[in-house]
Amino acid sequence: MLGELESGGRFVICDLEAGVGAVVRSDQADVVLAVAEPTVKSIEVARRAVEIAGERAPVVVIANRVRGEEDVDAIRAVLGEQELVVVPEEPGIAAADREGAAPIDFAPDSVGVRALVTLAERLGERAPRAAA
Amino acid sequence: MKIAVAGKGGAGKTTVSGTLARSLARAGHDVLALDADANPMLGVSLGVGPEETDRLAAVRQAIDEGEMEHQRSVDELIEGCGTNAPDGVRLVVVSRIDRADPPCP
Amino acid sequence: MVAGTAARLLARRGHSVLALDSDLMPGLAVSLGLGGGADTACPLDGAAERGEDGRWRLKKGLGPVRAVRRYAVVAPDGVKLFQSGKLPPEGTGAIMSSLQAYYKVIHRLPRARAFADWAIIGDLPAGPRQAAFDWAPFAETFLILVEPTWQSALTARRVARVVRSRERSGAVGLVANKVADPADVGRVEELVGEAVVAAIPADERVLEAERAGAALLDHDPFSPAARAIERLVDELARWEPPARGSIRDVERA
Repeated sequence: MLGELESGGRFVICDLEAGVGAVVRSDQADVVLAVAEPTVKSIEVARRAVEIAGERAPVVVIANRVRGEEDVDAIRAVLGEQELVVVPEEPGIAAADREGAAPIDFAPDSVGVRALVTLAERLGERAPRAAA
Repeated sequence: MKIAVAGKGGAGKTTVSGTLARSLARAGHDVLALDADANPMLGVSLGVGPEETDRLAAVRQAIDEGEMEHQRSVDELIEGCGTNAPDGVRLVVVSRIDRADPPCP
Repeated sequence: MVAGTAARLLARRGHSVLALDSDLMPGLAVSLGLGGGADTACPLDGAAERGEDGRWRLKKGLGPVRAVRRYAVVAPDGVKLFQSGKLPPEGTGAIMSSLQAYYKVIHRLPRARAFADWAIIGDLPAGPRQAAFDWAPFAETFLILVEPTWQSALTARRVARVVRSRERSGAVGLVANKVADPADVGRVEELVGEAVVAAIPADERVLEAERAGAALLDHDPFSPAARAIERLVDELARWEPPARGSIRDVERA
């Protein structure tokens, strides 16, 4: 699907199917974000995603639902060589999830949302803005 | 630029995808958000709500089951299986819901 | 947990019960009371082979009845458990022959006369796609477990749509799970848009059993959840045709 799309000046963000198989099939991505919770299984899936995608595109690891330094360390121990963005576990995002609302609407000032907005700004700098 | 968001189920892919898409759109970028998950929920993280998110999934299921004509091109899919999310993000459900990948890759 | 408990309760009521586990993640063996040790990567190792054309087939002389007899393990109360295999760290490649054999067997089970009067319960992996393949197409009764959250409710709607889109869709029953207060049942019905046939309470005993790697019926047969599953099994006994169904567990979705 990604292969059929011309991104042109726009951003195409693809929320892949869970697991490693989807990474194998999405070889047209310019950037891959590997989201990992601080659990062994989740880190393992991210590690394999990095292994597969890392050969053809830059990969950013997103350490999600992080509760403290130990959690970051656990992820860094396996994925330390990758660029890392930390999204802390916080009530705002969890509440947005319960309510069925967008985190950016429900908890715009939460640390987690702000970390993702900052990542978006950095990604935005890598591509030209659409002609408005 | 094409960005793929990967991870284990429940890791938070959808939260990341939705929030990034909205942020980029707010910064003035043209953004297309593709939901490739077999159980598409991206609409909720984008802010269109559970009902509209489910409506899109139902449209997708109806197409897959042959009750509706198949969209031939990517543009038709964006039109037929898509909805507008806040900040001008266009959301499209691109996963097949009814059919499983073969059990063995 | 519901599939394993229901399977054992059906066996106690005198049914011959076959439990099918196609989930690559562990779960059903433990909830049947076999403990974590019963999970193996390749339970059907050697049951399938590649022909000269490269296609998988069951070994010569091995039909579905013989395969179940040879490879199914016996769980408490005499439930037979037939498994496809659990995902080893090196990926699905290693369990290919086991998975292939599993699907070849279960797709022929419905026509196997030896199992005509058995209660067959398939515990499906999470997600709406699973309702379209696996054992699901053969199920006569389809139970969809749903928690009182919108995520679970949307998944349940999708599963129900997939099941009902089939020609012979069988009966579909919505089961509210992890119900914490009476209003949750109404919430589930409102979120999914249809009535529930049974409600299973949120129960600390279930969590304890899961943590201990024990079956709920062995851990605490009188727990509120176990009693609710008993009522569910009673309810199913009143349905026609008798329960020979799939339990689609959305709790992990």
